Amino acid sequence: MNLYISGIGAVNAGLPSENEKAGGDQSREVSVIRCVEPDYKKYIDPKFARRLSRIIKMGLYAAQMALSEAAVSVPDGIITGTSLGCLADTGKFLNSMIEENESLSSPSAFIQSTHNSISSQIAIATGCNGYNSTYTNRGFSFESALIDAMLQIGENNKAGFLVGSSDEITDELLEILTKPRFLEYSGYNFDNDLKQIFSYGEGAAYFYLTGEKTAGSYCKITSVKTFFTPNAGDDLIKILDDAVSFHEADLHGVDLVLSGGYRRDEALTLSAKLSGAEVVMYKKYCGEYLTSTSYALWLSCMILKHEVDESFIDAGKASTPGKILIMNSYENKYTSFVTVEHV
Amino acid sequence: MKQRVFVTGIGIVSAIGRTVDETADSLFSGNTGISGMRYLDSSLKDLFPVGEVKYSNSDLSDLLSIPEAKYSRTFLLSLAAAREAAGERLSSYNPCRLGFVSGNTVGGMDLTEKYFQSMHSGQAADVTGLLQHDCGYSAQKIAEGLNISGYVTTVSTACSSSTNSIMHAAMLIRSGIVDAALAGGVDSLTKFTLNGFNSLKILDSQLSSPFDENRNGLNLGEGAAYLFLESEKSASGHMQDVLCEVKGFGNSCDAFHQTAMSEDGKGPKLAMRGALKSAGLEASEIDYINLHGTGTSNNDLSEGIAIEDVFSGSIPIYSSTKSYTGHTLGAAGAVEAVICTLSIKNGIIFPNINFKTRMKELSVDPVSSLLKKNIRNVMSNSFGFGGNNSSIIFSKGV
Amino acid sequence: MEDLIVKLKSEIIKQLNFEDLTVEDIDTDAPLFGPEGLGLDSIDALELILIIEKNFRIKITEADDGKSILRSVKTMAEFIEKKRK
Repeated sequence: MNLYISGIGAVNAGLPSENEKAGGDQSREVSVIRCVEPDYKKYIDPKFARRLSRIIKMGLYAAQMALSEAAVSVPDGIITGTSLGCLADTGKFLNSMIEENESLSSPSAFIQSTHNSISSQIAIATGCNGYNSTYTNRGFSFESALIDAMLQIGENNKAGFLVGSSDEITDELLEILTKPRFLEYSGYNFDNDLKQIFSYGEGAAYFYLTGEKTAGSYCKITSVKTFFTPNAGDDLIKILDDAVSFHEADLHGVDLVLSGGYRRDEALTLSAKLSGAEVVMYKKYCGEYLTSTSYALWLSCMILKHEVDESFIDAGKASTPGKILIMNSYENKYTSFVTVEHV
Repeated sequence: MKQRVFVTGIGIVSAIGRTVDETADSLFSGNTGISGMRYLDSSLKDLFPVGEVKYSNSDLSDLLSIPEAKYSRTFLLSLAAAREAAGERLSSYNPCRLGFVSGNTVGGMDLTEKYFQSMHSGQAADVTGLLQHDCGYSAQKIAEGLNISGYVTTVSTACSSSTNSIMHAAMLIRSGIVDAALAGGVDSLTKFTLNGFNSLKILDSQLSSPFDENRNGLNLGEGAAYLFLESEKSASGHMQDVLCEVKGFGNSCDAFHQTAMSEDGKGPKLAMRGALKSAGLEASEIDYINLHGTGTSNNDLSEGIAIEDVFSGSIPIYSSTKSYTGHTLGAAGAVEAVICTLSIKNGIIFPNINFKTRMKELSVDPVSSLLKKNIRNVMSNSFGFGGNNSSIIFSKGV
Repeated sequence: MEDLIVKLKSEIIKQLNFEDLTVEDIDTDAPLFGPEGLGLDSIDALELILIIEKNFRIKITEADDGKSILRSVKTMAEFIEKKRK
């Protein structure tokens, strides 16, 4: 079934043409791309905001932006993916618990540290009593949210769901992720080539999805597939072949691939497999984080809405893509395909 | 026509037993698993009774025959229950047609807090333990170990996590994304959650009394439980294994406050009504409700009032089995689902241990001793922080 | 008493995250809870109890009338002064 998109919102590092505005930081062992921080007051009442940590504000801002574009005030349901949850509040509570030897712990930090806080605060802000869920499963966190939306809307075609993700990078996390011993275990082969293009990242993006096309729909998700591939090794092409033969992924007519990979040779092979489709490695614009597929989906929507300077897509096709494949395989274990088409 | 979803396997580990059989024995005997803290090294040790699984991490590793390594307690508990639920069943499936859906809130926090403690004390600390921090680690390891590749995910909606996992898995099966799935959840006791709940002042320093007028809070617990769910078609070759059916479910958000439930029980009412509608059942067809029943002033009032409204005129027998296991947080929905399965199978309702005085707002008492009853349909409630409310209905299979 | 009141107000701003407020913006006598005051809720009440315990080493016990003590900045200050004697 198709999921029609009529509203999107994001807090991220921006479009490829705007990326220099993002807070890049090359000073560490591995660089990081941070979000361009919006004026949260635009969508969040300051009285309400005092209880919200940054990751929740990012999600709520993106969610309200999506609802505003869709001209909807209360969705029928809210589903969020977050791979690491509310790290800042988790760290705050943990550190204070240890420093004070398990006395004098702040309840606010504890309650804000729970992973479902993002979805829950969006529900409180919008007065939504409908279906509400949160997925926290590494590279599938956002994809699971999309698949759940498909299942929910599949049972009620008239429903409109707000679906998205939010993940943040904190100084404390960055400190850990860039420790040499941690990098060893990171799943990335940090040779010099990879170091040139790899950055950690963060971001939030929300989408208002309906089962039926509306006047405001401007693109549609035509499929979302995930498969757990711990034995795939480095072979993204084999994964692609299996996707088509076993998992019935429909890749016919794809003219642009937003790939979560990093290797140029792999990108060229992918392109050849898909009848010369353009391949763009999107993580150079948003950094690596476990819900980065939502950035790619947001970017796809912006392209299909004609709000993007397409010069970042290499020369070739003159017209705007009609069918975009987002393909990611985090650590070559969490493989996902999302296809998005014009409406 | 929607495929029916059957439960053909269960696995559980909690304060009242390491297996389904041990759990059933404890339930029948009326012995609570809540006692003084034995394994968690916390400064709050002597203040709060807890429902700990009665094995150390080292014991669990031995029992699971996995090499002594620094695994989080969450992973160990999850593996124990998942293996029991899977049994020998998985080998007859194509791995691409199998799913694993787990509910979890705490992840590998037991290792994380040890790491931070060591850093704070200036001692050496192994940062690789933090690779187990996130909620998804256990699901990944278990899916790898059990060779499940069709669909793997983790739900984290506080105390309703594993009920939502079971719901999600049932919908995946109905829609044909997978033919069968292990669904449930896990949470282990950590200083983080103990201190967190203490900061909210909702822990009972005595054995908790759910749904009692003089209740004083909850006892934290830990555990893991999984159901093996199959489509009707997949189960058709071995219907004798069917324990019960996942008949219907409802999910709502209270949208009232970050931790407190609305006093009129709006969210719980919506979840319970949603479950009845989804199951195609009238309220009068529910024979038993396994309450969320944590023992906190707020939850029990909100849940109790919601039940009086939804089941007005025919309030079913109900009890909270958290009086046996403690509140196992993300695992609660699944732990209680397994207990509901045992209720259906044995035609017995397990009581609220420790109940004395009816709540003044309510018109009935929870069941306080073992009760024989033919159960056709049981509703299990899980209401979490953030207003994440879920209700699920299990029915006698065939 | 004045120093105590200023200290309480600045802790309230810091711990309860009132980023846009200054000490001068908080009315000493106004109710802290409910719509006329800062609009605090039950979680904030727990934070206020923590502020008193952390900064002044005074516990509010079950025997104390928590509701009256936490009614306003003034009543909080009066409680602390009384306990100090």
